[in-house]
Amino acid sequence: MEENITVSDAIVSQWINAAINGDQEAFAELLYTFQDAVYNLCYRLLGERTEAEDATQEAFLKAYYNLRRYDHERSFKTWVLSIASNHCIDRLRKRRMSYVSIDESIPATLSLASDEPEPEQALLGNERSQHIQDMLHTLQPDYRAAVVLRYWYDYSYAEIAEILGDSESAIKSRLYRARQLLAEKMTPTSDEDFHNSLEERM
Amino acid sequence: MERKHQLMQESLDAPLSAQAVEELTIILAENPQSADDYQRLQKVDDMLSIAPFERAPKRLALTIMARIAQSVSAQTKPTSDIDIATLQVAVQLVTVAALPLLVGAGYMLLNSQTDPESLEVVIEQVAMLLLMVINVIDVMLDEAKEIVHDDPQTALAMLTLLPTTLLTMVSEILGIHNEADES
Repeated sequence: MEENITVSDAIVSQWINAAINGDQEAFAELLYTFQDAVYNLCYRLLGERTEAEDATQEAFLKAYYNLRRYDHERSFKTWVLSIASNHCIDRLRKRRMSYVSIDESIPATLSLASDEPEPEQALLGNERSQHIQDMLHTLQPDYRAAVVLRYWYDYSYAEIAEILGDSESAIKSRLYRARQLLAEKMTPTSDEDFHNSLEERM
Repeated sequence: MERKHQLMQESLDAPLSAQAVEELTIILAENPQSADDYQRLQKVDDMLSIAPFERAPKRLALTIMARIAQSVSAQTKPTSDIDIATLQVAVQLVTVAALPLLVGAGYMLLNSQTDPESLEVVIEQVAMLLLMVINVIDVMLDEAKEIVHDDPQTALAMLTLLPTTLLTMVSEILGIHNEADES
């Protein structure tokens, strides 16, 4: 999940006003503050680092030239993520991606049937990140966007709906369906693990 | 959506109520397939919950700022010789349109100097007319400024409409009608 950004809304608002008045350094502050959030979203949606960099650039350029249209009642981060997600979904649609089979894309090491649980450090590694990426790529772009915004940014259904310009109920059913699709690709673990997990959750 | 699926999904987003937990527990205990489905959903949820956050490369911000600086610089310069020529024509047309107004105003003032009552009326009319002309120019310049970044050609074209707008407005105010219209 994303690390917390400590910059206050008032400071962000100041930067936005200064940037509107032509202060490029103020926009650079906004960029430094939110670039990771935008880049991660683009990477998770597009699945390729070079393309994610390009999409991040485009998203910030769009934000820069539309700063006057920014509604100060909204969160700037939500606004810029909305620009980025729409841009990425457009790209994916234009690309007319053919969705690869999960059996081909997920390496055997991801199987949950393994008797030896992986250490947490390994889960946070690049390899794991790539595996998750492969899983995401089995989803349609709009499903993927809902999953990324829910899990990486911890947004509520209402916030995701605002970002993707859809209804809350549509986002909810999209997220449910996305989880279902991913779950169908999973291998169950032992009953013992399952019940332990169930008890922890409840 | 089926009740059991709804409960399973909702449990992933927020803790269920005691009643819902009991309901789900019964469903899972009675139906091994549902228990298996729920296990898979939990694994998906666990996997996504600890997914790493990708950081932007350090050079990215610099690249973006360089692109913005380049783009702003390109927009502040006239984009072509045609733009410069259009701007010059626009300024000259405004001058041409404003000149007769100023000459006319001066002529009226000189002629009414001998008659204090006429002079007062003329001064008032000239002042009102010039104020309106300035306002029209001001409004059109503001509008041109607003769109000049997105569409410099249209902004310049707007300026070229200034003389026509001014002359039409003055004609209307002074009640000058085209001879063709009268005939």
